[in-house]
Amino acid sequence: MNKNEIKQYKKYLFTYFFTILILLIPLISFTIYVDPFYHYHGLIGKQKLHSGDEYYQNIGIAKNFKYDSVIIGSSMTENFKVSQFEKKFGGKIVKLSLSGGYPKNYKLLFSKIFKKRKIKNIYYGLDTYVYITQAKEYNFEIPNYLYDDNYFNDVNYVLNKNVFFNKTIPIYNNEMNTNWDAIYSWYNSFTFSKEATLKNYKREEKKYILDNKKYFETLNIRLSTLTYFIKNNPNTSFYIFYPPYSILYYDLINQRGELEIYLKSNKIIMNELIKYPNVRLTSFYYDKNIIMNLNNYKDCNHYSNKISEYIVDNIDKDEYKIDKSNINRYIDESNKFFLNYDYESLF
Amino acid sequence: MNFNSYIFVLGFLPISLIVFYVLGYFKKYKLSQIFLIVDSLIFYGYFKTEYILLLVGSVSINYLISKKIGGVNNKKKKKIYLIIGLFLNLSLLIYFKYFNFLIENFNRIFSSNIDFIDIIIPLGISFFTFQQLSYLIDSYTEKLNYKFIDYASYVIFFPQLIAGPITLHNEMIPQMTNIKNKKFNIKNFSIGFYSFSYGFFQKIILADTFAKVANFVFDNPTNNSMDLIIGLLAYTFQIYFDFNGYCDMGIGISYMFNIKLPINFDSPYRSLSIKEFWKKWHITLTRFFTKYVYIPLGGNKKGRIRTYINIMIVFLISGIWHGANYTFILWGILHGIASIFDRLFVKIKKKINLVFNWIITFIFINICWLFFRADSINIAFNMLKNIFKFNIMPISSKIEEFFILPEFKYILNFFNIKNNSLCMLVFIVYSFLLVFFMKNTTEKIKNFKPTQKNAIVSAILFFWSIISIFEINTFIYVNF
Repeated sequence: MNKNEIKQYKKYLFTYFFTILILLIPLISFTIYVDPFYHYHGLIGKQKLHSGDEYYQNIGIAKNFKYDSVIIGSSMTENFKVSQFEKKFGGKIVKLSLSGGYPKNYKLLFSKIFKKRKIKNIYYGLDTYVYITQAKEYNFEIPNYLYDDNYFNDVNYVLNKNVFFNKTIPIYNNEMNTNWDAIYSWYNSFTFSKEATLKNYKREEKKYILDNKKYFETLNIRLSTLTYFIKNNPNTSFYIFYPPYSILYYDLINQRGELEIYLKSNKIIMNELIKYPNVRLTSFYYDKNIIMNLNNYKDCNHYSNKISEYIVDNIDKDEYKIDKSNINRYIDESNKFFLNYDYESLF
Repeated sequence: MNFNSYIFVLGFLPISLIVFYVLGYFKKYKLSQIFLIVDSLIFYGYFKTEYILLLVGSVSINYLISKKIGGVNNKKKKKIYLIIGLFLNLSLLIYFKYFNFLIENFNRIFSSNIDFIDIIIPLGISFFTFQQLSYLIDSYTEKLNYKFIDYASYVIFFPQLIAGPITLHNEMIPQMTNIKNKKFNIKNFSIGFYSFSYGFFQKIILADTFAKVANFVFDNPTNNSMDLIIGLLAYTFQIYFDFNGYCDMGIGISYMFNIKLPINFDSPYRSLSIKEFWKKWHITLTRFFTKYVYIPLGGNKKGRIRTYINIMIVFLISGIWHGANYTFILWGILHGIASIFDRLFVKIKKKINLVFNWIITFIFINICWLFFRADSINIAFNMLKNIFKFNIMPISSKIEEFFILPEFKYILNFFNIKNNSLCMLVFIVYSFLLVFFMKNTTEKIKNFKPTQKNAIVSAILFFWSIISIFEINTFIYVNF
């Protein structure tokens, strides 16, 4: 090849790589600036809070936002209004609900929440079932690249046209703005009535569990993921509450043959939690006024906005407090009720 | 590892190129050769380290046997060693690919209940097995004197290790041992990226989109003839862009290392007969079967009937090679029958209009792909039945949606275009145009000029592809 040809090829390669760079660099920079998953930073400049996928953006919020209290839990917490909590308790609160969250999912959030941060209060809705179920470990396909400290796999984030067109651009155009009360909430989209609840309930075939040992082994392991953070953050108050599932939910568990295991697990968890001076345990699951009235629900366990507000109002009231003085009586009474209830009468 | 992954494009490839050419610059030619082998092993073992041992073992044992074949003078002993070599290679291949299929059939015939074994097929085993078989057989018919390291370079070369082309030693080893090729050559390097970019685009944007449609239709075939036809057409395009795209990437990467791989595709869907199709589709496989099965059996030199039998044998083996299912075998048989028909009716075909020839050939190819892709012969026949019932219903919106890529959705919204079928139409029309008018890789490379236009277009295709990788994609021939 002569010098001229080589010069031509050099120009060719330069144009080729330069074109790629000139397309990549704006894409990457823009994504990092808008940062739809809050992976690199919180709100900067005129950016507003936006709605999105909990499993994608909550880990980023936990890592990068400024706050001192957290509302956390499953879909049982999604309708909570941060303003209601702030009026009652003060502080700067974020809502990090994870629909269908498992203890491992919460552990990942807690690790980021407590990293280099002084947390005043944690408001946590505890769902016993995810502490014992043998069905799964985690919920959902977690996008690992958002949860680890490896910057290399962030290419899945910044070199991703799906993210760019479905998230980055709409968010930049302020099409997904929301506020802390409305974020992740859905109560406006559903009917809460006895009709709806019964219609949405599919009764399963009755099963019997022969060996329950695995459940309690699982419970042990998963519970420690919670108590770890309670123990290591003695200056943080954990307001842990049991959400009020409808009576139908207990039919569901009963049909699966897991009711006794479930109730026993309640007892184990409660007894463990009240040991800690920084835990304030509250339970709504045996409030018959709520759980027996199917008009409060849209399905066997999701309650209305009214009930959500009621929970927040009473989360620090003695009426629903569980401690050494009343735990045994509470558990004995509630267990007797759920074990002896005539579930057939519901249908 | 896969070509279409971040780790390959942004990590493995640049690092491999840099190390290779740095070694070449300092004249460490032996080292660069060893580096390429180790590098290729890393590429191969990325998903499962154990299979590196398998590959190294296979290469070592094959080299030893071929040395033995060449070393002895007694023809009988030569044959024995050859048979041992063939037996070992084929046993390995049969075990990994067909063991469970054999068990399944054994169970069916003898009503037994033998359990399947949990086998994961090592990547590319069909390819490197055939490659080494060709070497073994060649060492029987001619004197081969390559050193182990040169043989290893030839088999363990990552651009063609996993999905071909199936190369011959005499077209590869001289290139790989030529010192000139260890030094940076800006022309080859440019061509490499040019070919790679086009292959990348075909695989990620075209093949993977058609794959979604094909999977949707084949996984749940309905009686909607339009859906079935679109689904089948989608598969026809998927397998072409997938395989051709991957080969273009392999050829491109190989060019970056100054190695020229043989052509594997030559606009096959332009064929006017099945005989022509196999001269243009998976050319190196056809070459392998012709040289090592068809010709040894007598080819077309032993009379008409024997020719037809030989053709059927080759296509039967080809079908089996493609997979452990009766659908593949039937596919092979169909192609075999069509090849025979082509020879029988060669005079009649000459009188028929070219377009008509093309239409029959293309439809036949599609029908064969139907059997190739379907999960079972039963399902395939059902789909075929439903296609020819001509239940003309509107195409499922889900299918149309698959073509609406996020970037297209944005453009449609921007210009307020409400038509949901537009993307599908554009995809299909564009693919037909490509399949007809796109120059095959060799032509593209031969006519390549380092113009600004080529640089910008191929760069845009590269960029478009790399931001589309995140999705889980299937590469069809990788399970081979």
